[in-house]
Amino acid sequence: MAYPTELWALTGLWVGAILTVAIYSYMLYKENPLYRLAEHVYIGIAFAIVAVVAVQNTNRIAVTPLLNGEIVFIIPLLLGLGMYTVFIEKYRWVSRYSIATLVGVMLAVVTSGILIPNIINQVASTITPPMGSTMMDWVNFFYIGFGTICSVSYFLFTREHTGILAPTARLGRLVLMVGLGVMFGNTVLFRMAMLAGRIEYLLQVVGILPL
Amino acid sequence: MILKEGRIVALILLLGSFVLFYLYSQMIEQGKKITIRTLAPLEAIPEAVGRCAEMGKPMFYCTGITGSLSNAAGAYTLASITILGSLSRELAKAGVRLKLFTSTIDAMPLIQETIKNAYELEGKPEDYSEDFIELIANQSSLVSRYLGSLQRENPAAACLIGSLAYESVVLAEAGNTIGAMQISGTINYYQIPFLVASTDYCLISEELYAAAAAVSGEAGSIGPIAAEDVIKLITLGIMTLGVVLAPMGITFLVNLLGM
Repeated sequence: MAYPTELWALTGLWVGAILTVAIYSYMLYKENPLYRLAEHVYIGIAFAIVAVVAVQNTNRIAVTPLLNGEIVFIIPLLLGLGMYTVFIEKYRWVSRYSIATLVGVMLAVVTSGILIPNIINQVASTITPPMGSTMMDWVNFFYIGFGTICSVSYFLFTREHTGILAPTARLGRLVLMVGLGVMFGNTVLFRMAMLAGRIEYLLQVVGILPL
Repeated sequence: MILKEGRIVALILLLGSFVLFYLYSQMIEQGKKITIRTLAPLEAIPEAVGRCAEMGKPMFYCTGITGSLSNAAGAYTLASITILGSLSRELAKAGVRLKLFTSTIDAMPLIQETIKNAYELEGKPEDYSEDFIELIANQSSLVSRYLGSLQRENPAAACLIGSLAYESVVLAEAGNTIGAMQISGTINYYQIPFLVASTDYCLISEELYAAAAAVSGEAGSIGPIAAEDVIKLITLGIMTLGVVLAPMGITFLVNLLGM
């Protein structure tokens, strides 16, 4: 991509770069006027985008089909309007129906997608013997097997971690910490890539790197 | 055949869960005493509130970035709001100012009512203010707002509990730099390592639901946690048997789970 020459494109590029520097200034100078400016600009723009997207989505998903005769779309519209009753003290209770419907739908959607991949398949994978037959395959199998058993025992909540649960829960916590450490390392690498991305953008804006 | 192969065990598990949830909720309602085990982050909440009261500084609370209660992460936000209810009562009692940051727009009425109710229950409705809550439209602007407020208001304690994503480490590290006592919790396992590393106490994964049930004390919340424990014990039994039998080439449990 060539370096832009039009005024609006150049402005966009430099506004992005200045706001990036303003936000990163927090690391060196804590909360400062430049950061505060970027913070408020960011919040305002985010609200504007969310408002526009919400209106467009309501129009596209519910209002247009309703006007085309699909009467069933009156239900989500009424539930959505119900949310706004929080601003009227007398009718505030109406908003509870909208929230209850949202939560109910969420629970149904989540439950249907959890049982097989997150529970049954995980248990089956844990106890499936390894495909290979080397010593290391079996070491991995037992590490995963007993590690999972101990970790699950850590998540028993109606019993204190005493008696027979004390050693398994303690071992489970250690296994969890090993797993979390691995994830920590992976994510730090990913964050470094994100930082590199922003630095690359800044270098492109000032013309050191090609766009 | 009505039952699809590969989903029979899931159906049994689902129906079994419903029955157990109902039975345990009923048992608790009829007076059976079931308690949630000690969770260190919950035990630390009075200490955090006390710290704010002693230092005369506010407490920050962030429910995270879930866009809506209607997606999977909505459950984390709901659990967070339950904990918020109990925390708000402590804050009202101690006269500590709360500052809450959220970007879950449709949870706003719930958050407002939860805090308002807490202040009413403590007999201090006049102390409640709509200014306690800051609704920020999206993730990155929430981060910038939280970081700015952290430096301006210098809270003595902060809770990051709910649906947290990449912002978890940014918020928690910034809280660390000002020396705030921090309590965190999320189900999002990609973020748990950062919260464990950079906050004083962390509710790891399902501990968040257990903590919410413990503070609510309601049969409808504790019942499912107790029922889940039964399911976990059965799962533990299956896994132990499976791991022991696998080296002998006995894999009927794997086949059974595939039904």
